[in-house]
Amino acid sequence: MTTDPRSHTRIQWALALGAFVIALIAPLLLPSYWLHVVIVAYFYAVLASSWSFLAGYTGQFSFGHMAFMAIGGYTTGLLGRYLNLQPLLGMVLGTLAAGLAGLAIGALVLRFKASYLALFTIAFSEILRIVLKAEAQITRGDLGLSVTPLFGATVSKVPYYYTMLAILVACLLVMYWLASSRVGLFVRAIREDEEAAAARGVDVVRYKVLTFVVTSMIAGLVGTFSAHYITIITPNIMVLSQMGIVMAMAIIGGVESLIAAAIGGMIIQVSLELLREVGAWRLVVFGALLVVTLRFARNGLLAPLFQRLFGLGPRAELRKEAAADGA
Amino acid sequence: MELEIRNLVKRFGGIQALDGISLRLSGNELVGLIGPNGSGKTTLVNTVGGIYEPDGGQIILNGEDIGHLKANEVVRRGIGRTFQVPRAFRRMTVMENMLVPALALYSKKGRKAWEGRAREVLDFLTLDHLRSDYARSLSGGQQRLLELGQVLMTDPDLLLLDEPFAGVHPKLMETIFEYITTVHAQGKAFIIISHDMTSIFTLSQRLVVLSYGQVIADDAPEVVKHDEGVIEAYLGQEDADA
Repeated sequence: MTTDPRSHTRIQWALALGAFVIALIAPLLLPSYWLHVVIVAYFYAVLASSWSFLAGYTGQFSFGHMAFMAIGGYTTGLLGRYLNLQPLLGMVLGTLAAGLAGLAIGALVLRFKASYLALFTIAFSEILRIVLKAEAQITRGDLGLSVTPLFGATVSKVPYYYTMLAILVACLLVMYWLASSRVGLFVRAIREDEEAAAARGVDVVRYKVLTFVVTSMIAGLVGTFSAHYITIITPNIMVLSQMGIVMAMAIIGGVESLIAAAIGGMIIQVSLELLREVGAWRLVVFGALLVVTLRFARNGLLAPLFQRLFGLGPRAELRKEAAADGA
Repeated sequence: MELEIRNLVKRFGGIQALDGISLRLSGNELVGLIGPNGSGKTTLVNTVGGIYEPDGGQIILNGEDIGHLKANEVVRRGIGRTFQVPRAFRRMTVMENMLVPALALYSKKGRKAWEGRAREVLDFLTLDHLRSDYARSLSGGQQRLLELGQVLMTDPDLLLLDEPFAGVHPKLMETIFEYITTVHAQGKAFIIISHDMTSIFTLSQRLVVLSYGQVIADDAPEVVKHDEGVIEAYLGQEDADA
């Protein structure tokens, strides 16, 4: 039995619209605590999807995502504290600072093989964490840097919710646009075989650096929002286990699909919250799920499901042509 | 097209892979590159193609020294190449494989514009019906054809083909043969590495023979066939004397 590809497209649009409407009315339905959980789930969704863009599309395994988030958060926090800068301007500068750090690291390391990036970013994250701890007179170290709230004295979480939702949608759209443009084509070619991509005319270093900078900026943006939402930032956001959670979210969702990684991030964050009563065992369940995924489902649990249900895959182009011929 | 390789040297640790190779190609010459295993044929192609940086000597293309250019810059100068083992982008569709080189080199023309050209090339290579399949689902021979298609998308002046006939079904071999003769007739130059002596002797206007990183013969196929140095390099001293 063949499924009409136009019905797939209709289902995709209907689902996207339905999800967006639910997201828009969520603050009317959720109590404040659960609204907070969803806000946090959204920023993990951005982190997981941007990491999947880096690892799944380009094949670059970075452990520095949380470090770029911290750069964004600390930049806006320190500028606010010492220069009394407005949060919005601080967020812009924090995002740019993360991008600049990504550019510096990318230019330095991305000429080499992927393993160098992984090792370098582990070292970079640890150095940054230790510096932020050690320079306590500036950063307040483990006590945490107080950051002014984004919406002043407002207690309601609703404006934060819509801001984070806007960041999530904007980041997904930017990454989706990049992934479906020629940049996406080139970075996937690089992922498959760097030498062969170069032999076909692709400037490998340039596109690796470009994706690294974009994803660093996205992590930085999430960091700036997180700082102004939680209103405190500590070096502990950079511990390796935090990075591991983001990577696991992307891997379980599907590292080669932006949407699957984002939804994976949300589901796992909400599940961890629901399982809070079982304490540390929730992390055991989470770890077991990761092991099963890595062993049996290379592209995650959600991505293959989406491919089966909504016709996303390599034959989509052919099906569209067949539909056009039949129309 | 004028390519001049002057005293090219490439070392890997203590191994001298290319030991002062000099070679000249002009117009649309079709040159066969042969030699025993380990003689430096693939290293020469990789060095000219920008994968390896030479340790000495020069590679002059149309008056420009391209020896220190990266592979993607060499392609822009009009040199396309295939690999000894096909290296298509396995988790991308055949059409996407074709679009990568076209869009990388000619960014002003959009994706849609290149799809038409890609289908023409794929049709010529008998791969058009597979355009929406992943490259990994293609047979080894079909992946070789796909690589040849990718090379054509960059419209090169010189094609470096590394073992284009290796492990290919006889029917696909005919297609590759036709590809080479057709593209050559369009004015493109070739350097073809092959262990398939029948094909390489039939196709080549000139044969260059390497041994231990050096050129030991460079002449018409009929002359090279009877060259004692070449026979010795292939069969070994004792067998050649026998």
